[in-house]
Amino acid sequence: MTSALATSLVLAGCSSSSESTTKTTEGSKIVLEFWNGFTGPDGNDMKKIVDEFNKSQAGKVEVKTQTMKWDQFYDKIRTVVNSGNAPDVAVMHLDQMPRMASKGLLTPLDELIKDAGLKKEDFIPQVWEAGMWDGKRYSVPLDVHPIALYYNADLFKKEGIEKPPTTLEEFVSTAKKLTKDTDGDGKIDQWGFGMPTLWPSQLMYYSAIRQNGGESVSADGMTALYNDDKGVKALQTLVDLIYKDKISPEKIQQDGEVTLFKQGKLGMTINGIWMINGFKEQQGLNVAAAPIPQFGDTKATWAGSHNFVVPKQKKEDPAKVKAAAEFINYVTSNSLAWAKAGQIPAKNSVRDSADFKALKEQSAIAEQVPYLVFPPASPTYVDVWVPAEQGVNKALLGQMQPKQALDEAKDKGEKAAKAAK
Amino acid sequence: MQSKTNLVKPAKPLRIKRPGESRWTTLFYIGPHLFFFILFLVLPTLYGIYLSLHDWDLLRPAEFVGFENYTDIFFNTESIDYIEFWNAFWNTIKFVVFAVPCLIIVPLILALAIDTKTWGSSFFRALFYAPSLLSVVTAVLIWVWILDSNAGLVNFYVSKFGVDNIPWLTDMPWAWIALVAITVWWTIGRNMILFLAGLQDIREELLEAAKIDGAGRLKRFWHIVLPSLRGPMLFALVMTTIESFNVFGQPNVATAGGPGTETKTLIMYIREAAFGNYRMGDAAAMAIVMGAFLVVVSVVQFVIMKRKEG
Repeated sequence: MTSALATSLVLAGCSSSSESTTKTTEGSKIVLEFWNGFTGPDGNDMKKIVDEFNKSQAGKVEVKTQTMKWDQFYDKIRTVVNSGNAPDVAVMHLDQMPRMASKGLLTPLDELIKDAGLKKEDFIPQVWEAGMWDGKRYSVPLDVHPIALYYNADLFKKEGIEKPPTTLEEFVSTAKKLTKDTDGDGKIDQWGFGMPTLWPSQLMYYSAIRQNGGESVSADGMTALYNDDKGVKALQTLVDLIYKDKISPEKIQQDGEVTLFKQGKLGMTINGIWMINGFKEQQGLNVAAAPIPQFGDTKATWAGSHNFVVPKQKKEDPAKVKAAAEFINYVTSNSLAWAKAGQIPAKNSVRDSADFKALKEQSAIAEQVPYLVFPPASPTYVDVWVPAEQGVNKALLGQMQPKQALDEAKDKGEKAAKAAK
Repeated sequence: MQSKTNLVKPAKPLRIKRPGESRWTTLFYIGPHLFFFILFLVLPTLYGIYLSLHDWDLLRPAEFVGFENYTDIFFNTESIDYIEFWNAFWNTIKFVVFAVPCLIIVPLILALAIDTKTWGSSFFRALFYAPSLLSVVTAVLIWVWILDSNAGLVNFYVSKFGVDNIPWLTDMPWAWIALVAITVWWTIGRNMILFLAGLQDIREELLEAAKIDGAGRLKRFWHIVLPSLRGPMLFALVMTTIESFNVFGQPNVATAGGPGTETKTLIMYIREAAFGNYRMGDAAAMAIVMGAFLVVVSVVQFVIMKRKEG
């Protein structure tokens, strides 16, 4: 998962690569086709793990990876399952799984995981639970990727701030200390925080709803709940950071806060764990990571998750499915290389290892694991939720009151869910 | 006026039938194009019409629903497409109304300037054409950088004049201004080359004669240059209008349709319905409504331009 920008760059109608999949079992060797969307540097990390697996199998099983952009992946997966050319195993985002499962694209894994020795106790419980749809298991988590608070350690030192803030009050007062006019021209040129108006503001908003004890969408994915008191309060808090507390520039454009943070003009920014390496590579920026501050009564942090799934075949080959389960087990157990790419392994044994703890930023962000929250599993969740993102945008631009923006979003979202059903 | 126009009109070439020329020769020439025209335009259009009468999610068999997808767009105020399609439709119209005049007038002025053939004109011709060679993503990303509200070059200079940071890509009306400016910068080359070619076809004698008769620069432009450019102008106008209706890359990359959905255009919404929500039938119906509207607009443009000529 990179940023929304990256996915939005993929323009329509350019998926033309061939689908001549090699479905043969070469001799006694089982060949598995593995699809994923890791087109960034993370693709290399995944490749390393796959190569190790192939080596360990010594010619019994061979996994062949096909990587494509996520947009293409989701466009294609439907058609290939339909035409009987589905890959044997694939990775997809957790929030897409219910939609795919409800359309019969995925194989239930309940029996398989028992045989392969994959069990709940070994994984982060919330993300393990989230892999269920309609009482059946359809996916096995590889990682979780929550949002995190990044801060400029040099600026913190300069202002005498000792530790990153954990509550709303601390957050605002810390940010106020960092917000100042450094060159004396009467205009603020160093900000405590950059509140995005587009992506990833919706991830912050979702976290804030859950921190206030609310929920985004009903469990059946048909009713919007984000416009209730808790949801409105959550959005009001984010709006206030800009217009009341004045700790963030107004009307930041897409990724504008990332640019400012990299330039050393922002004290703090909130973004996904996948930004780690980009920030660390930035010259002159001394970045550190921490859990996001708590804006409500409880702790909660939005996270996404990459999940293994087994797409449905026209004719199921038990040997292949078994090999796929072994492969899934292997990758989840050997996901340290994956953690280095900027992810938190879903498997406890990897997260508890000394090697993972040595990854300073990753392990700091992993402190949020006990209270990570995932949106309810429903095929129409996305339809109801997306208008809320647009409402959040309008409220953060100061064009609409939070309540009004969210009411409008609810109306649109529920209509969209009806159309999708 | 009338006679002048006729003067510059090229004479119709005589068609001489050569020996051995038959119906097959004709077919041989148009055949390859016809083949691809049918394969990539006629068949998909027919398939689109078929799809627009069905509900299809790419997986389950398509279900025939008659004109429901169309009535949703036009009459069903409770449907999401009614809200979003018309929002996107008016956004697109706004873009067309703002962008097309700029995309005609600016290249025309540049072409006139370059046609003076003073020092460096071929350099400037290449320079203005260069952005057209970039892909839309590259072109737009350059501007996203330049227009960055807090760290961008434009606001850096704007702030020198004591003006507050302008939210070029996040707020109204700046987002439209930015999108039109990006589009002009990116696509200026094609129309400019068209006009340049048209200008070079104007016969010197005409301008000389007008000059001798005492016509000033402006008069020569209005009565000789502009009427002579009718052909390229019609082509540029129709093509630019169609392209502006199909605007997708610029708002998709620069504003993501924001603020809210105020710069979300038709193609953006149709793509979202098709590949985001897998509502192929609804998307096909919307695409066909949009296509039909474009046909009407193009025909009107043709008729108006032709009538002026007649």
